[in-house]
Amino acid sequence: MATQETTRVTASGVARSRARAATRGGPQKQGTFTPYLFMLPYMILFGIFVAAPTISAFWISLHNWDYLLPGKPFTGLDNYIDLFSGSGSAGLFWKSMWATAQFTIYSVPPLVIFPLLVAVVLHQKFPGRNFFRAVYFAPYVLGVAVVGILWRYLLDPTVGVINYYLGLIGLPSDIPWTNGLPWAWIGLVGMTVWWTAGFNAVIYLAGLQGIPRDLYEAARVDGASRWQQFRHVTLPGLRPVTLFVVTVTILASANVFGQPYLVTGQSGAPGNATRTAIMYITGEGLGRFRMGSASAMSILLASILAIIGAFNFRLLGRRND
Amino acid sequence: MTEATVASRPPGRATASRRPLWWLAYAALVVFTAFYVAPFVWMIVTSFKTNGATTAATPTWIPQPFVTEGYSEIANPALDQPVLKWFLNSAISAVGHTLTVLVTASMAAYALARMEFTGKRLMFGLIIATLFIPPIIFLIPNYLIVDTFGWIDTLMAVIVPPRRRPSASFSCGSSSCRCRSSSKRPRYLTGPTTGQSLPVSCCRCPSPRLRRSRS
Repeated sequence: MATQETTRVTASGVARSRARAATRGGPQKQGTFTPYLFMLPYMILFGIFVAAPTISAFWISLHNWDYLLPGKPFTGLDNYIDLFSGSGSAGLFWKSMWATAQFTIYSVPPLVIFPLLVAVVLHQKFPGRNFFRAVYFAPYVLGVAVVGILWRYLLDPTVGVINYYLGLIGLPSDIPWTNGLPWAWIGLVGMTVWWTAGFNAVIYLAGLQGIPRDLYEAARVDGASRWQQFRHVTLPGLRPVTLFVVTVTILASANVFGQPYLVTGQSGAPGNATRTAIMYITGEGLGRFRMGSASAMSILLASILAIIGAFNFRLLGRRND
Repeated sequence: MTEATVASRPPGRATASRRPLWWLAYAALVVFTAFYVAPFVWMIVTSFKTNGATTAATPTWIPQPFVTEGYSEIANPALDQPVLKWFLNSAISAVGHTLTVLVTASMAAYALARMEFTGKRLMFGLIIATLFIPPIIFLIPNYLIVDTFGWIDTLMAVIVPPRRRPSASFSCGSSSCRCRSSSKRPRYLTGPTTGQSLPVSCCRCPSPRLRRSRS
């Protein structure tokens, strides 16, 4: 605004504002070191607190590493071989990997689709829109400890509010949400959707706001129905945002720890069925002090996630370009 | 969906057709939202209950009796649980960490999104790759690293090390870097600071029109 007024007053103002616009908008006019100086502060933190620990974790995974003992013998790839040869606790680890896979498969579709619906609805203009937006985002501001304890009470099989109301409307009131299958998964996925859907919805909402209005106008002129507009304007316009949401959601779901830890317990009731990989790795490294083996498990999990992530980018990122 | 139809029509017709279907959809939204907000309300209601009443067989939405013990205990200095001190710690570390991320990550994201330089792809690739590593594995190495700085038992240990979120803003940076050709559009120039305009550019850029202009 201020720039526009200046342009009306003086000619030099025009030149100045144009010059400023050019330097701020153009990627060409920059010194050789400028990008590196921009990158420097983050890369220092990244190097010290992310890259170095990653390398260190890989190094630890090649050892029989008990941080309470002075000797940490180098064992090469033994920790990895153990995981694949099925010796010792490998079976329990793969069981926890399967639990993680199940949680991811069950939670990602609702966490990608439901927030999209919320965003599309809350993108419309109607009275109280900002209030509704606040309501759907509100749970996300809670910490996992708060959400876990809250839902531990709500889902409790005997004194839980949810079972009470299910009983009132004539449904079974003794559903084992915290210690039976498949109820435990439904409870965990449900609370996770409730907790994090708002974050995804906000990202979708920002994406929706970026789709130019004239595309909808053009579609209407061409006689596109409401559904066709959504299918051929909204969805393609949201593809990069969807890629981001899917990737981040898969990562978050695969790293699930707090919800099962607090709701179905440390051992992942019933009978370790909901003990996720992160829970198992935490127990292995910090409970049984076998940091080498825990690091190997983490790196294995990270590799699997990286493959899924790359696949995901390929699938969603390249189409129609 | 129904409101969508209404909102996209010219205003004159909108009010006319805003009768039955619109109200039905609005009512559905209100009911669904009521369910959505219920756990939140439950949490607030429970905070005014006595310990016994929190697990009563018949749940009540109005605390009987209505007690504020839960809150007075927080402020009670005689208890050896300095909850207010914990809140202060959380506030300091949250503000400190936010500032750290805001400054460092937005600067880096700006460079990744708007500038060309040797090693850009490598740096970006590294940052994205580490996103996939389960954070638990950083615990022991980070403890040792933080220890070498003498930050153990200080808030610096939670303020400085980057967590997951900075990576998220990097992903945003990446999507805006793919449509750099459009970065001269005025809306990018109007942001008060680079840091503030970045998330906007991240989410606005990948629209169909811009994609068309790129190819």
